[in-house]
Amino acid sequence: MVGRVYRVEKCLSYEKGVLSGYPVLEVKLYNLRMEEFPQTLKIPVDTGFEGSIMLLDEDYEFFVIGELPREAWRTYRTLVGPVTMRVARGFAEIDGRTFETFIESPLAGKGKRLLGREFLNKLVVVLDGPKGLCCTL
Amino acid sequence: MVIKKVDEKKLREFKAEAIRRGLTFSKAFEKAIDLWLKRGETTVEAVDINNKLYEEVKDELARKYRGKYVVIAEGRLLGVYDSLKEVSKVLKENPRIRRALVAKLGVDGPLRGEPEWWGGSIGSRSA
Repeated sequence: MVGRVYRVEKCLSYEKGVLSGYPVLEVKLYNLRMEEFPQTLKIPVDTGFEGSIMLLDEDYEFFVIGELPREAWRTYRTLVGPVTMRVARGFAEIDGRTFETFIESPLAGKGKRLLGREFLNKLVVVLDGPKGLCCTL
Repeated sequence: MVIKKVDEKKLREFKAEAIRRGLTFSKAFEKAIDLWLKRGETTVEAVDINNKLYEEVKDELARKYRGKYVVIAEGRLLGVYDSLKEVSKVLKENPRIRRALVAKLGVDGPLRGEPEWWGGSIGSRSA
């Protein structure tokens, strides 16, 4: 078996949940005009969400300067039926690295802040459950 | 305040949507007023006029400029650009624009399948 050595960039403690903690990553977001979103967000890691970065509907307004055409908006299969998301382009910065990404928010409803698989697949992330740490490498 | 002769079906749908969005009836009513008065940053009209123009020009532009970025704002075609860096530059040069449609020609479009969000629920509270 071939071993690999990874160098940790940064670790963040899990946020408290009701039954168990959940991993988060700290993300700076920019819209397509390269304006920085007013807050640096700690966003939950959610491998169950296939999309990129989901935000609240009020957050999403900041990104409508780079919105995709309606035909490219996405409809997700969920346990409660299909949910359509508006989609915009933006940039996300994690540990000094900037990535082009999609910003999504439900067409109806308040939404959530989540990092989905489409975005997570750009990163190497370690979920250290016993220590309650989420680390980027 | 008493409002008479409101379509009951529409009113029921409005109340249901307010509940789905986690809003009180009065908050939802205020938001609807804002939207109608165009105080909200998002107006359905702005989305629609940009999308209408995009639908009209997308096939021709995709034939000529596949892989480049088209920018449409306020129902006008601002241009076609090679990179997102150029798109950023043109958006900075037009600070008055609040909403723009940006599409990668011949690439952005309907997905072939339906992606998933396991256990997803939009709820009324953020995660």
